[in-house]
Amino acid sequence: MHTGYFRECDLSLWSAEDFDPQMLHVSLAPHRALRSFLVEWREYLLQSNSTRVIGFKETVLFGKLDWLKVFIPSLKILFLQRDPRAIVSSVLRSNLLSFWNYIHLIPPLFKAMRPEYVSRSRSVDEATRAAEITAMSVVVRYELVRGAIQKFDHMEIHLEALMQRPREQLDQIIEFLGVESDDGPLSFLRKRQLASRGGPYSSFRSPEDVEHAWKRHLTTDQIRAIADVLQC
Amino acid sequence: MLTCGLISEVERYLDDAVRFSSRHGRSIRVADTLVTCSTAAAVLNELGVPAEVEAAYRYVNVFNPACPLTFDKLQQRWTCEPALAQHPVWGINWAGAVLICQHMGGRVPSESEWECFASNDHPSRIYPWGDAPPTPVLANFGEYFGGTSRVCSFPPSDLGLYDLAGNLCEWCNDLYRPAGGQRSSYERVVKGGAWSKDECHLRVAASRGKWERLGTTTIGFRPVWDD
Repeated sequence: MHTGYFRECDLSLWSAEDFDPQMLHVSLAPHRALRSFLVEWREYLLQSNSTRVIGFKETVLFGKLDWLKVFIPSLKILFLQRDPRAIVSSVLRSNLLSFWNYIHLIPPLFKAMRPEYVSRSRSVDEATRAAEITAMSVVVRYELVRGAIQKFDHMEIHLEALMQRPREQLDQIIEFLGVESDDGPLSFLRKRQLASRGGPYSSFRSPEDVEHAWKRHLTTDQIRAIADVLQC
Repeated sequence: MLTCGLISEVERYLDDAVRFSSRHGRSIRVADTLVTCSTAAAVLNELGVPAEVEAAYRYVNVFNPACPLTFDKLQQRWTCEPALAQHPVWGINWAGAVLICQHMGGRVPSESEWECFASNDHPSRIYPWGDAPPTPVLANFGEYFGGTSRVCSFPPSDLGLYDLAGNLCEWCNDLYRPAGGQRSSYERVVKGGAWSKDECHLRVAASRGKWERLGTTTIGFRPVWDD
């Protein structure tokens, strides 16, 4: 769903009432090709059955879950969570902060959710401010999810638990999805845990790196700024 | 009509294509490499494919910030990242692959054709090079290199074809039929495995289905020409 369109309206709220059977959403009225794409995307996802689940990973629909529930009523959500410090570290290392427009998008939304927050990072270095804003993004997205996820058949997963107890966690996911048990996912995960290698988006990561790499990548000031945001 | 620059690029590509006749009798020529970023940009310009302006792309996934192809608005033409010019192009969806292959006078192969030329018509062969397990010397897979590699960086098959296993998966023409399931109306078969995929995907017989609308980081394409 990472079309430029959804990136540009990331975190703007679409309600269930905003759904329109023809236009899908009023703001999509001028975007015929995107509407066609979304309708086909829904049909593609709905091919899922007990032997094969089709899913997608998503980071820009947090403000649109109520709308999404009307658009795809049978959608199940796996809400994957992780230590926010590791998320911030990962986002910063991708060098995509400006691409996602966090600097302009996130602070006003966070301020609306946490009006009492006072930043201690405005006057410090750019890297610390970037960590602070990314932490705000995590808080905003998690809060949006918590407000809407109860409407879906959903399951919360913590990446750290998945790393430490893969069989148990995968069994729960398989049960939640209602598919036949298969050794494939466990074998895949174990292979990917053997060693860290590859580019920034690689899933070949040792459990130690998944849990602790942020400690090597974040500065003390960044860790403090993240803590300030999370504790507010 | 092809421009001079493209003629030389496509002519070279055609010249390097490998003639292949399967035991079933059909004779085709197979591109020795995946289509590179440089060739893809040249063909898109020759076709006059405009910038992707719609919120959902037609051919090129320009929404991925790492996409090797970009549309230069000043020059009104597609360009590729110079360092990636000889890397196989990714980010092109199935319709884009079909379009580019057709403009070069070819087409994307069927799944069965792909398996025939990837095994050099040896149905029992596990990998394009034989039955030995994959290593980072034989192919780009399993995140050993962290991304695509230049075409011709790994040993060719005995037929003279490069990157049949690894680097990028390859679009095929067939609609995908999952094991025990019905043929999908939305997914096309991809073959060969890719730089980030496990070794199981490098097997000649391994297939996956991918939604044909998506241009992903792990799928490229290789044209074939009917003789």
